[in-house]
Amino acid sequence: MRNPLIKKQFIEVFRSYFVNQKTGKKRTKGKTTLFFFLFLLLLIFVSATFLGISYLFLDLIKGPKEFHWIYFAVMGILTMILGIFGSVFNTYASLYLSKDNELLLSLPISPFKILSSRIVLVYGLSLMYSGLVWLPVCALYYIYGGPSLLSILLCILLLFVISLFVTVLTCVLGFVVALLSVKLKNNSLMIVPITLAAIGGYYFVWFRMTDTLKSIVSNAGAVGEGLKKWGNVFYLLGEASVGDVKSFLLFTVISLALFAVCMFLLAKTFLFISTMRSGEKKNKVTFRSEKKQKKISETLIWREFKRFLSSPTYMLNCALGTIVGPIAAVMVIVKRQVLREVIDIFSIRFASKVEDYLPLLLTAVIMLALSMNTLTTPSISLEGKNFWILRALPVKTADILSAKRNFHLLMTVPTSIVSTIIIGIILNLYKEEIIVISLLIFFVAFFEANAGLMLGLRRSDFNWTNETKPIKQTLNSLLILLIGWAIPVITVGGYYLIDRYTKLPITSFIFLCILLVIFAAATYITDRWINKKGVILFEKL
Amino acid sequence: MLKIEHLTKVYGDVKAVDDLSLTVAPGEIYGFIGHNGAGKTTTLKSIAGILKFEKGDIFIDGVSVLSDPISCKKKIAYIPDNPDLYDFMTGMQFLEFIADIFEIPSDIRNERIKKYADIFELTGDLSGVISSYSHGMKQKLAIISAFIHEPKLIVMDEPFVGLDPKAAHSLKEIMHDVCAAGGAIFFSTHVLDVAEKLCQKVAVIKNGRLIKAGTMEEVTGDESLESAFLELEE
Repeated sequence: MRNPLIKKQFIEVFRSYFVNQKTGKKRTKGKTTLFFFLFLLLLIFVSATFLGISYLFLDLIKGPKEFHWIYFAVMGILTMILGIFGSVFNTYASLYLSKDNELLLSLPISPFKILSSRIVLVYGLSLMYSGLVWLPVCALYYIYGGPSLLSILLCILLLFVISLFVTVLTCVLGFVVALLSVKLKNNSLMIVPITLAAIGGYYFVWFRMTDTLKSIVSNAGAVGEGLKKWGNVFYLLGEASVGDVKSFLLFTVISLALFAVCMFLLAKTFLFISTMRSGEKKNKVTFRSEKKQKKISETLIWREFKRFLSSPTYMLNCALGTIVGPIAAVMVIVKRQVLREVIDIFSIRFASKVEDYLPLLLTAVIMLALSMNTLTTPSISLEGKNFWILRALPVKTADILSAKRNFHLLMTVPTSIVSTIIIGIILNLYKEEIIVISLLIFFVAFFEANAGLMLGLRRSDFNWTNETKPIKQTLNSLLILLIGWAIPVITVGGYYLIDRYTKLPITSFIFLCILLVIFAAATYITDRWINKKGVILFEKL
Repeated sequence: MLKIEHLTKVYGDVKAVDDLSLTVAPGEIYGFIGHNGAGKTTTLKSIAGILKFEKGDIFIDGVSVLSDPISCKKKIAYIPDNPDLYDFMTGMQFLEFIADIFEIPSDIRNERIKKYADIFELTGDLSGVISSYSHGMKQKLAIISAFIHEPKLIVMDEPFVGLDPKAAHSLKEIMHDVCAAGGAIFFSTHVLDVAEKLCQKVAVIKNGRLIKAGTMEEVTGDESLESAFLELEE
C-alpha cells in the first residue's frame, strides 16, 4: 500500500489482530488466524440472518423473470438502509473526530488527501456492511433464480457500486451529524434525543422489515411500477442485477457522479468542520450547595455517565440494549392479542410444549437485548490520555472498576427487569417463573459487565486516534458480542437438547434455576478475578 | 515530607530510574532537572502513584506509597507536563469532580475554587467545556484542581510550560505560600533560570541515576546552575 495515510488507517483498524496492544509484541500466526476466524464467524452469522430474510422473496424469484429485478431493487434498498444506519455515526467520527487532525493538517498534505484517505476506510466498511446483505441476496438468486453468467458478473460488480452509493449517503449524513454536534456540543439534552431517534428509526425499519417485505412480495407488480416511476435509480439497480448492461452502466455513472459531488462538497468544508469550535456562550458559573455533595462511588459513576453522554458513538454501539428491552415490552403490550392468538394456535398443536418453552423464549429475548449493552468492554481503553487522572486520585482501584461495572448495570438491569416482568405478565407466566427469570437476567447482565471489564483489562489500548477504534473495532468488542449471543443460544438450545435427547426429568423452570445457579457462580468468580487480578492489571497499565 | 529510597523503575530491559534516593523536607521547593528521557517524569509519576516501580520505596509524610497509596495520594497533588483533562466536562464540573473525590465540603471547595480561579483568571471560563480550552487554560485548571484539597506535597512536571507570564508569577507566589504553611514542592523543569531563583534545593538526574543533589550552593558552587548542569551532563 503506497499511500501512507491509507496505510495508517488500515493499520489502526487491524493492528490488534497482529500485535498485542499491551506488550507491543507480534501475535503468533495461530492467534491471528483464530481472531480472524472469530471475525469471519460473526460475519457469517449476520449474513445468514439476511439469507433468511431473502427467503421471503422465494416465490418472486421462482416466478416470471420480468419481476426478478424487483427482488434486487428492494434488497438493494435494504442493503443501503442498513449500511447507512450502521455506519453514520462511525463515519462522522472517522471523518472529523480523529485526534490526529491537527498533526495531519500541520503536515504538507492537502486536506483533500486527508479526507480521501478517511473516505477509503469508510468505503471499506461500507463494502463489508453491504456485502453482508448483498452476497446472500445474490446467493439465493443463483440457487433459485436461474441467472445468466452476465447477471452473476454484474451482481458481483454491483456490490462495489452499491458500496459507493452507501459511502456517499453515509458521508452526507456524517457531515450533517458533524454540523449538529458542533452546534449542540454543550447540549447533551439535544444530542441524546437525536441519537435515540436515530436508534429508534433503525429499529423501526428492522422490526417492520418482515411485514414490509411480505407486503412487497404480494404486491410486486404495483411496487415495481412505483419503483420505475419514483425510484428510477433502484429500478436501474434491479435491472442491472438481472443482467442489463445498459442499466448497470447508468447506475454506475450516477453513483460515480454523486460520489464526485459528495467529495467536492466534503473537501470544500473539511477544514472548516474539523477545526471548527462551537463558539459557546459564556454561562455564569454556579457553585454547588452543600446538600448536593456526592459520595466517591456516586462521583465515579457520574463520571462514567458524563463520558457516556459525550459520545454518540459510545451510546449507539454500547447501550442499545437499554431501549431494546422496553421496546420489546411495548410491542408485546400493543400486540398482546395477536400474541395470545399465536400462542393458542401453537398450544393446540404442541400442547404443553408451548407453556414449557415460553419462559425460555422470553429469557432469550431479554438476553439478546442484554448482549447489546457492552459498556464496560471499551471503558478502560476509552480513558485514553486521561488515564493518569484516575491513577493520581486517592481512590481504590477496585472502586474505579466497580463504578464502571455499576454504570453498566444501571444502564442495563432496571429496563431489562421491568421488561421481563411486563412481558412475563402478558404471557401469563407463573410468578415463580418471572422471579427466576428476573434473577437470571440480573446475573447474566452482571456476568456480561464483568466479562467486558475483564476483556478491557486484559486488552486495553490507550493509543487510539479515534474513539471508534476502542468502541467497535477491537477484538474485545467482537468477543463480548459473541459471548452475548452464545448465552441465549445455550439457554434455548441447551434445554432443547436435554428435552429432545435425554430422559432427565427437567422442566424449563428447573433448567432456568440451574442456569441461575451457574450464572450466579460465574458472576462471583469473575467478580473475584476483577477484585484481585483485575486490580493488579489496572495498576500496571 | 518526601523521601525516596533506592527507587528503581524498569521499562522492559531499560532502567528508566536507577537506585534513586532523595529527601524533600517541609518548607522546601526542590527542583529536579535533567535532559530529555533522563527519568524525571518517571520519578514524578512514581511519587504520584501513577507508576508501579520494581525496587525501593517512596514515603510521603512518613507513609509508604507501596503500603498505603490512598493515604499518600490524599496528601499530594500531581500536575503533569501535558494536562489531558476530561474533554467531556466543563471546567467547573472537573473541579467539582476532584473535590468530590477528595471529599471537600461544599463551602470550603467553593471558597477555594473562587480563590484560585480568580488568581489564574479562569473564573469566567469555568462554565465552558474543557475541549474548548487552550493548552494554557487546561494547565491553569489542572493547577487549580491540584490546590483544591490543600495538599502537603505538590509534585509538578514542567509546571510553567504553557502558562502566561502573569499565571507563572501567580504560581510561583502560591508555591511560596504552600511552603510557608509547612508544605513542600518537588518539580521538574528545563528552565534553569526559574529553578535557580525559585528552589532552595536541586537534584540533577542523568540516564536514570541521580548525579548531584543538595542546596543550590552545593550543586552550583560559584557557577550558574546552567553552567553547573552542562558540566555535569558532559
